[in-house]
Amino acid sequence: MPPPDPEDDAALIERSWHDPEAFAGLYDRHAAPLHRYAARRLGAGAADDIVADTFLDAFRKRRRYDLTVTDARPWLYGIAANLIGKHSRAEVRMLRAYARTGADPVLAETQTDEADGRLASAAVRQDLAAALAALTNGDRDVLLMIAWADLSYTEVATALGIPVGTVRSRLHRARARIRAALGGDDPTSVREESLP
Amino acid sequence: MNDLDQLREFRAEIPYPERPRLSPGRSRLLSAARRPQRRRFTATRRNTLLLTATAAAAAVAVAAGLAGYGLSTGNAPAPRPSAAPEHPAAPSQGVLAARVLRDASAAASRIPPKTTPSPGQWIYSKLVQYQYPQGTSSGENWITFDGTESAYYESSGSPITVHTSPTTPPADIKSNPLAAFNTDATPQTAYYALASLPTAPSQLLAALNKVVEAAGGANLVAGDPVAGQAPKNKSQLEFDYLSLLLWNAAGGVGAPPNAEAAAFRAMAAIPGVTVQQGITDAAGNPAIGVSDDGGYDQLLLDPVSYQVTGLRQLSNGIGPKMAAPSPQQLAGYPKAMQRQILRKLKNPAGPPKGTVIESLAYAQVSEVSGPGLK
Repeated sequence: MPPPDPEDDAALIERSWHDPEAFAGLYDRHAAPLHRYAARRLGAGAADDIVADTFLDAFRKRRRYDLTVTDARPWLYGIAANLIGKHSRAEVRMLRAYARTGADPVLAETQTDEADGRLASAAVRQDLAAALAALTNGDRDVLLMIAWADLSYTEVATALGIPVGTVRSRLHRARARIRAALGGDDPTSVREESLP
Repeated sequence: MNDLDQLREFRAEIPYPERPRLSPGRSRLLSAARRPQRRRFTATRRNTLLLTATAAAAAVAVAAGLAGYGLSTGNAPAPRPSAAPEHPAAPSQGVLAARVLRDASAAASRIPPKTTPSPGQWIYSKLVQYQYPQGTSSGENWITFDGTESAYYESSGSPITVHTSPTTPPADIKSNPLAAFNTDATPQTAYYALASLPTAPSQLLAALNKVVEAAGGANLVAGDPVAGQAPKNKSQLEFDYLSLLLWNAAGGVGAPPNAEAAAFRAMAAIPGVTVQQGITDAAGNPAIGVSDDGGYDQLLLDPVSYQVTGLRQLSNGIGPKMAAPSPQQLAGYPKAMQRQILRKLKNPAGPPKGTVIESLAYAQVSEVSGPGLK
């Protein structure tokens, strides 16, 4: 008999149906990347609450989890997207402030080292901030789940409860705006990313 | 560097959080997990009923697959179209059950109607839960009528924790109350779902039948031998769904009295309904158990007021026992099914037939003006 497979998210969630504390294992796996994702959008303080509330809500709904989906990230990021969406005005406000002043309110909240050499110039970053602020919430969710959370098109569709075709069209629209803001018309830059 | 690469570097200096930053959230999660009760009852029965079509199909596939691989189901009783009780109800049972439910209906219709609470109305409840073999525990919970906010004490003496759900109430609460209830069982969704049902018993049952069909009718009827879930006929599934609506409403502000009266009338019209008198609910109060599967899944009513007070599940003794598949056979199944099979092999027998495996009762439910108040 083969060894039991290492417990995936679905197995862990199923176990938590009868052993609720097992759900903490899901937190240990996914809280840190989810926190960073939320912090990049709204700052670390807001991310604290978003992560805690996401997992509490997920815990409450654990019995409705679709056990055929072995990776819980789409589910968790979908719940988090709802919470982040409640702060969309603050998110846009901070992006606009960054675009206008060159000082990022989100970064100001975090102790970081000096920006390293790989980073784009301040002007490019301000353009990016302005472009992100101009996106609809739905387009921004899709774009950032793919760019920052490394979710696939299908996973983003699952997370947001929208068809994969809609993910593609939203992403296409969002990237077009980002490219326009960056002033790049380089055709090599419009290639499809190969995504998992 | 393309646009996505540039975007990936945007705010990339934001670090992964240090462990101390994450520990308050983890503590909140753990204390929620350690609270003795579930916020809403979404336990085995609802889970059974609302299996996603894929999961139900998968369960059937396991059963069919095992047969196909020549595996025996050992001593497990053959699935029957109806989970007949070990102690078949006497013919007079049906008459008695109908009388009890008619009385319950009459009692509900005597309650003066009230206005629908505001979405933010807080509701306090104390739930007592017995689980085999752990025993009895109880917990206090506050929730708003629409389920958006809930509150509890992490431990005695700690400040109250208020949790806001990002996904409730469901968007279709008014347009499709039954679907909204299936998405999220809150006092409000149960209230509107019951209120939306027709009052004529035959039409009400037809509406429930549609829900059961939508949740995967034929697969649910087949049951899930691997999970030890007995086959159920359509009437039994309708009964289970109706009793869950009533139970969830009971944990809130109930349903409009005429809707509750109609629900009991319809329940009386379900073939095979029986009652068990003289039982005690998890909170220690006398109760009548109403059931449609011979007494294994019971909705508990107060014998005097006929209010819904609890839910109870007795073991049907169906603990599937199967011969161990060969590694190759096992590897042929999807991972989720492999897990089910391995678990059943490790733990083949459930508690003896007739053992109370879960019993839930509301010791108190009241509308209050805020979290922490009783």
